[in-house]
Amino acid sequence: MAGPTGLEPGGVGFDPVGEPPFRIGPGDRVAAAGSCFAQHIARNLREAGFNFLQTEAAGADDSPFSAQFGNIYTACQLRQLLLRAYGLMRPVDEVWRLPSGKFVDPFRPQMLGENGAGLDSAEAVIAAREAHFMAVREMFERCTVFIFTLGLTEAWLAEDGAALPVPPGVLGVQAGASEARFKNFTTLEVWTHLEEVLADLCLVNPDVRIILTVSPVALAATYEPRHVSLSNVLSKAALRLAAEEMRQRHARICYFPAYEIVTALANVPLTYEADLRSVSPHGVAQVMGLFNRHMLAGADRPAAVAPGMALAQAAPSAEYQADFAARTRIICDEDLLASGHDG
Amino acid sequence: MKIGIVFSCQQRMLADVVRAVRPDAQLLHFDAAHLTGPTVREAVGHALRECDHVLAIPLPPEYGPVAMAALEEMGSRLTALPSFGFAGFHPDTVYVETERGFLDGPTHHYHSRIAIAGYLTGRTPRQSMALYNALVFGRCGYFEVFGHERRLAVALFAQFGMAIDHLFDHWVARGCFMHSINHPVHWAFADLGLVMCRRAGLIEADVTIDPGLVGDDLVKHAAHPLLPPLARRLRLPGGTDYKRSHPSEIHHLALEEFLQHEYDALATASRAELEAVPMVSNLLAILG
Repeated sequence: MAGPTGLEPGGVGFDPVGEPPFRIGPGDRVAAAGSCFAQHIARNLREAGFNFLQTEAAGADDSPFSAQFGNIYTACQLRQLLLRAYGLMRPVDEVWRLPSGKFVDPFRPQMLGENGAGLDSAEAVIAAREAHFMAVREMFERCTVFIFTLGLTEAWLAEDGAALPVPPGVLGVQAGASEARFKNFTTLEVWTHLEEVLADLCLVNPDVRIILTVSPVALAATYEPRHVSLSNVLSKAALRLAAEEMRQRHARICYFPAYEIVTALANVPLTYEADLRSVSPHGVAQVMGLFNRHMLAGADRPAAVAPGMALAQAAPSAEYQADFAARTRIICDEDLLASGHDG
Repeated sequence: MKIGIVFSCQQRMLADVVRAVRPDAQLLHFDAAHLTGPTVREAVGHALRECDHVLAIPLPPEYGPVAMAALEEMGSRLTALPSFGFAGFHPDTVYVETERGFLDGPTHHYHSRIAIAGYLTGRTPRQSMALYNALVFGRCGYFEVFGHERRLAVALFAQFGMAIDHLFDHWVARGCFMHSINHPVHWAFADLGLVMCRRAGLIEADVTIDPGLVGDDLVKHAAHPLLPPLARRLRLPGGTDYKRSHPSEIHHLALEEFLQHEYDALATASRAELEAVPMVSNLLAILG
């Protein structure tokens, strides 16, 4: 029998997903990034026969990530990944040396070498990063749908503000690490980072559509001087509000309520493991079932129109017009080189 | 009939078009860049005045007898024409003005705005290579340049009494129609030349020519590539090979090699001269 909320115990028939602004079609190329929960998206899309975009090889197994960036817990990390991949951010922490003598990339410390143990030299890490960035750029530019799962607001920053997935002390880093500091991002900061990502993503991929989700995986610990349950609620609330701001402001953004599905009273505790933190297979199945029902379309959407050749919407600036006028008055003298004419 | 042409580096192509539509005419054609001394200018000015019709690019008063102000005395025998420039495929290409004139480099007077900004921010050539990407292009407004340039070129030709807007769709369907910012491909110039000839009253409206009659002499000159981020957006083939002027032994430079030579050239200019290049300050702000 349904309770006062209209829900049945165990979540049977529970479906909070409304009409999405768009659906994923068989012709779409879907990229995914984010926290642990984002990993389920890739597997689900592959199993459903959709095109999960993977631009960087991951070894024998199918990777849960579109490129080998590992978990991206915060919007700030995503923001900085984009900037780093396009050469607009050069962090101080270039390469870390582990107690094992191996070298790792500070921004994906478990993604290089056999079983993530690292590489033999700093140069090898830097070379791997160039290839990685190429794959990241390809992912951002080729995907038609980008799914990002917001995981945390708490983070560790290097001395220059570079967001680290893991503080160097946890790995016992021997060399290459700057002093890390704790940062707990506010709702406004998360929202700002998402807006900045969107602005740049649209520059490199004008037709991209974005699905935001909030990870239902609860915080395991907090660095704030309070109980982890308080930090968990504040963190998820901040992420949810930032996602909502984005959804309300941008037609190309869809919010998919994975967090609400798993944490709904009608579903708990079946949606969580015994640790009451990790999402259970039942919870994952419920989320993915609703994702498939609402977000996957049977028919391909119409091909996007390439805007490149179209006239620019805005008129050129006065500075631009002056430059054009000056350029068209320049008398090209290159022919003098060809003729040997010395004037 | 004797027809005189004094025009930009596109003068040979214009002459080819005129020759194709008026094979009966005697043709004199001059590159304005070669009119560098008073003796030459006097001789060319005299020759032009003996022509039945002159097609001329407007030259400033210091050009004396071949300046537009002087040629205007020819009245209806003179048709003023603009040179065609279009940076829509090469938005990163710029000139650098120094106190010694235009800065020379591996691609003659063409320089890369991104290279300048990379150089000024202390990046190595290899580090600057990474900046030739879609995000930097997007933030610089490079994807909008095609539309801006089309609009401004159409407006410029309209000032000279010529409509060229319709030509762009035809050209775009065929591909990249510029070797560089001021060097059109011969088949595109064939269309422009016909518009110019109609403007001068040399042909009727429905006359056409085989573009193959127009020689592509500008193909051998220095050029920057249609870089991949823009090529992908325009759905055209792109590349990263920079082309030197033909007198040099090496004709093509890969991006990193180009940047190494470019840095050497930029080192001969002052920081103020490089910062004064249009929109370099925007790029410096982007790079931080």
